[in-house]
Amino acid sequence: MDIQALQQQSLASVAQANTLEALEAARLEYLGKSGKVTGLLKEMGKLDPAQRQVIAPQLNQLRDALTTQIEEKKNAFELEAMNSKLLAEKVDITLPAMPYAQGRVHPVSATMAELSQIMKGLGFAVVQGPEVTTDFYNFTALNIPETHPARQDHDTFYLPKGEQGENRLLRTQTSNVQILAMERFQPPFRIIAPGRVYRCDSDQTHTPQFHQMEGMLIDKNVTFAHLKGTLQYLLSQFFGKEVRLRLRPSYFPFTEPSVEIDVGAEVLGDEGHKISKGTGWLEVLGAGMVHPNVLKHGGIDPTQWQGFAFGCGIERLAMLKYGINDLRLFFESHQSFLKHFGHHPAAR
Amino acid sequence: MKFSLSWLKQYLTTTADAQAIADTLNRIGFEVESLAHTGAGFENVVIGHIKERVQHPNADRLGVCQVDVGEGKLRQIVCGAPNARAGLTVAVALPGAVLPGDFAIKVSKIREVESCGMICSQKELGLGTESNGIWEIENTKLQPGKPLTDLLGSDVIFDVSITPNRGDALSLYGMARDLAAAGVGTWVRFVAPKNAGQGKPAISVKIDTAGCKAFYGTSISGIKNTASHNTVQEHLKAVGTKIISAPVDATNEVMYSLGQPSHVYDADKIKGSIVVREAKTGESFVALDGNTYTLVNGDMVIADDSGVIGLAGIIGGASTGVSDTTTNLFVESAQFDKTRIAKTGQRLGIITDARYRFERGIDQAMTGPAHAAVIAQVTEICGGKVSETTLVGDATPAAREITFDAKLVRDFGGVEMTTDEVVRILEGLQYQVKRQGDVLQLNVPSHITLFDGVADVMEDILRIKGYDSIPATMPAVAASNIPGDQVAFDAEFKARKALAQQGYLETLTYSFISPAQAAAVGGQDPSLVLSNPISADLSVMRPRLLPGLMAGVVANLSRAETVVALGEVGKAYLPTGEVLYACGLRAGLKQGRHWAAGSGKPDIFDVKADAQAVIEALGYDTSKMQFKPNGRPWYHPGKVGELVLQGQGVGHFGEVHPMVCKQLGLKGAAVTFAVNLTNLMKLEKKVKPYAASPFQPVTRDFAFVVDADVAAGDVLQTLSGAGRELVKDAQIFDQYVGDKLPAGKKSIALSLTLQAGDRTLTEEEINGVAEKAVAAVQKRFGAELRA
Repeated sequence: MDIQALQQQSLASVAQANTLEALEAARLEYLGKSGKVTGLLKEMGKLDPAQRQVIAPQLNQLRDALTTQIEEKKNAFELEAMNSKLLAEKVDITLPAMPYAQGRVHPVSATMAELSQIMKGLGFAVVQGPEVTTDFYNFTALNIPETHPARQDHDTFYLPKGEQGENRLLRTQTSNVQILAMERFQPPFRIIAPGRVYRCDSDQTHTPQFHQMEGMLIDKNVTFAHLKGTLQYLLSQFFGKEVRLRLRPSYFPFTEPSVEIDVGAEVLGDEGHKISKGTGWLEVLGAGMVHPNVLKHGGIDPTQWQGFAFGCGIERLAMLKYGINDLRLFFESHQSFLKHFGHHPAAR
Repeated sequence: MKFSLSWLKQYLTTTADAQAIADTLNRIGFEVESLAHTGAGFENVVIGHIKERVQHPNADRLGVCQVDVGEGKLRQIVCGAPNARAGLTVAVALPGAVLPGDFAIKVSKIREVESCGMICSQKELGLGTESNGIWEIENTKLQPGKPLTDLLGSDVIFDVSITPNRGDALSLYGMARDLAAAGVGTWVRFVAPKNAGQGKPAISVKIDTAGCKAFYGTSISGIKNTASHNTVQEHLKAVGTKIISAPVDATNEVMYSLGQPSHVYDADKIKGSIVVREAKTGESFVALDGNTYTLVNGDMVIADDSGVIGLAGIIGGASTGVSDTTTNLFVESAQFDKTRIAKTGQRLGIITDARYRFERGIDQAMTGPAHAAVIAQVTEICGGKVSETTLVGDATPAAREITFDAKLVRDFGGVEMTTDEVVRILEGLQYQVKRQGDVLQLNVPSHITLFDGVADVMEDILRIKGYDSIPATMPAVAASNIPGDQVAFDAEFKARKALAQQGYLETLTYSFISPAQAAAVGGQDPSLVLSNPISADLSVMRPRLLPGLMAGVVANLSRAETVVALGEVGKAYLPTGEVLYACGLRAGLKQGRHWAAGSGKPDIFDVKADAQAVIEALGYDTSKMQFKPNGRPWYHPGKVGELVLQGQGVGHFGEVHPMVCKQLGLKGAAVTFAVNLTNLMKLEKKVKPYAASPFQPVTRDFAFVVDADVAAGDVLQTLSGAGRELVKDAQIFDQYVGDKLPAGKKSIALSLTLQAGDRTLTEEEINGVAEKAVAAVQKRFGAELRA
């Protein structure tokens, strides 16, 4: 038998097979039990060794080549058949996905988490305090005695007097936690106190409740320059770029000197300049060096220790950063607002 | 405080312009809220003379005026003012003028008659609030056509906010002192005029209270009460104070100039002599504001023989007020205790400039000079004969000395300053400084009324130095050395994230709700009801989060939201303390309508899963949590469960009671859960051991017919409890109630998965556990095993 001819004939016949059936017929013709190639392979034993050594490799090669080509072609035919079947299963991918029931974290909560994380990185631990408190913790211990004019600026909500005749009120500032922290911990320490505060005031730019974050650092050699450095860091981290700070002297009875801190409006681009009403500055928080009287009220010796404190309005910072223009929206439970400005739970 | 630049310049010699002064004020602690240029907005408004007025041909109430505005020919202007008449000098807005309120003046036809401008009232020009027709300008010598600003002058009005610690800056004199110290010009010291009056004052004064330190009194007799000079009127207009009459205006002018309040009495209305004394409880008097005030012990009054004629340092009395016919005056300038004034002022809610200044402290060195200034100004305008001034009490300010180490500035401020610079700043602020090297002996000036020690000196130095010159330095890095409440704080956020992952939109509702809302969830203790709420709707501290969330749900449903799921993590306020809750409320549809899925309503098993998700998020395993059919009155009594973990109740889930829904304004149903995070966080976080087995688990299913009121959870517990150590898992996977069962019965299908850690279980072992488990269920519940 002419192996050369058989090779040409068999490969051509595989190549020409254009259906799965024709391919199977070709396979049976050459590689089936009584196929032509199989037949020759069976004859091998009868040949003399010298002849076998020449022919056997050629036949084996032919068998392998046919097997591979048939397999490849078979796979191709099957894929083709499968694809035409799959095309019939085509779906309209423009139909909506299953309703995405992803909730959101409130922007004020998210901002509070964001700020506390930045401060945590500087070693400030969260300390919490009650919202229903007394005038001692909210005012007196913070160097605001009963007749101090600053008390009148606070629009305080009062509750019926307590059992000991103490004046109960809703805290007007998270600064009440300063005193609690000094009572609980020995200096040096650094704390923040985020939380809800209340003022008896309601109009377009005031809501009777809002949120603040207090910060306080007490140590031996803390300076005003450290206050400036810390706030520069906090605000730059929060806004995501280096901010310019402006410090304006101000007055809070519990700090001295007291300052109000502005950031350069450029941090928010054109919008920032609009919000700043052309002044180029955005008021963001109040701060100062802890007043010696406050340290004394907290049981800390002001000749040994000094420190700084600051307090910022969470809503104010959230409004600036996220472009929210009406404070009241925060507390109105509108789902459209909460979906728009709320944060994905994995975002923080 | 509002003031004009020209007035400030009486006490500050400077070449700085208004903007530079404003910038400095901001830098040294006085926030400039606005700078307004008077005269701005009066372009094309000129002086005019009305030459003729005739009746408008087509309108009874209108006139047609011919007005000379200096153009060589007369302008025709239609005017409806009843007082428009020939001969008046008036303000005329010419076409092109834009009056306050963006009112642009154009040539127009009014009822067929051309009108080439407008004759203005003071109100239309923004100069007054009342309008009785057009402004009749008294100075008739003004040339027609001259700009109105020739009459009004142009000035800059500052509106500066002054913090409560700066009583010394509630005057032009004090403001100028600080500006000068900051390098803006020189301070013009006030030299008090000499009182050359003779004879004792007509009224004698006695101080009978420790709350009054000093009282200057002077009589002026035979005055002619009249209006103040224009300059004074302009000053007071700039401040925003009502112009009254020369004597009263003088006290105001001096108060704004020098900071010391004074009071003028009609001396003829004072009965006998004056005494400054403690008020008697129940005493009352009618004040200059027309109100009657009832006094209590602790108030301080000015009284004459007839009774109270003034509330010391706060407000004068109506009975002795100065009127047009007053001819004899008595002038008071006194020093009152700031705490006493503050208490009475706060209690009675009287806000006056005098109280404001006394409360913040006045410069005691200025009481006498200010008194003299009032007398000089009154007599200059009203004439009269002045008595000697009597001083009762001691007006001299107490000396205050303090030692200050200038090197402290670096340790405290973190900024390098030479001692020379420190001294320069302090002297600028009128401290008297005796220097010994870096140690300074300071005499604190009397204008500083709130002085607590070194911190005040430090503030003054750094404030004038400028905070911009202080470097920004990071404090040394330190790890947190105190535990604080970080765990509790983080737990709040874990709960918030869990809520969001369950599909809730986190909201923040008000901590105060209405009495009706509180009543719907069990009411609130009276100790947690606000004494001075914004409104009754926001008057009760919430005992639960549910009412606030419900209000949000109702509002969203009315805004056509179909899927409503609101959650909140926040405090509830109870007499026992503040309790942190995570709460969720679902109403409407469970999910948005979808082409391939039905959208049912949320049910209690949704909120049960939500509650479990929150508890898991805080790190607690809920696989052993129990659900007990214990309710609260605001839940549907048949659809409520208590969440019990480690034997402690940690919350509830269920359907809101339909009556409560109705009370809270919801049409339809809602499901809710509340997890008490405060209680939850008290529990131990148990670590469950992990036991993986390489051996094959086997699962067997069972169906039991039991009485309808048997809890499936109890059946599950019994079934899985019987073969404890081999039971890997047990689940309830079906429940059936219906025709195929006798009435009052239900069928529960459960699966039991068995696995051993050390061997493959034999058929015998499996059957043994299964039989034991089935027997236990049958025994406890009288259950029948279904084939």
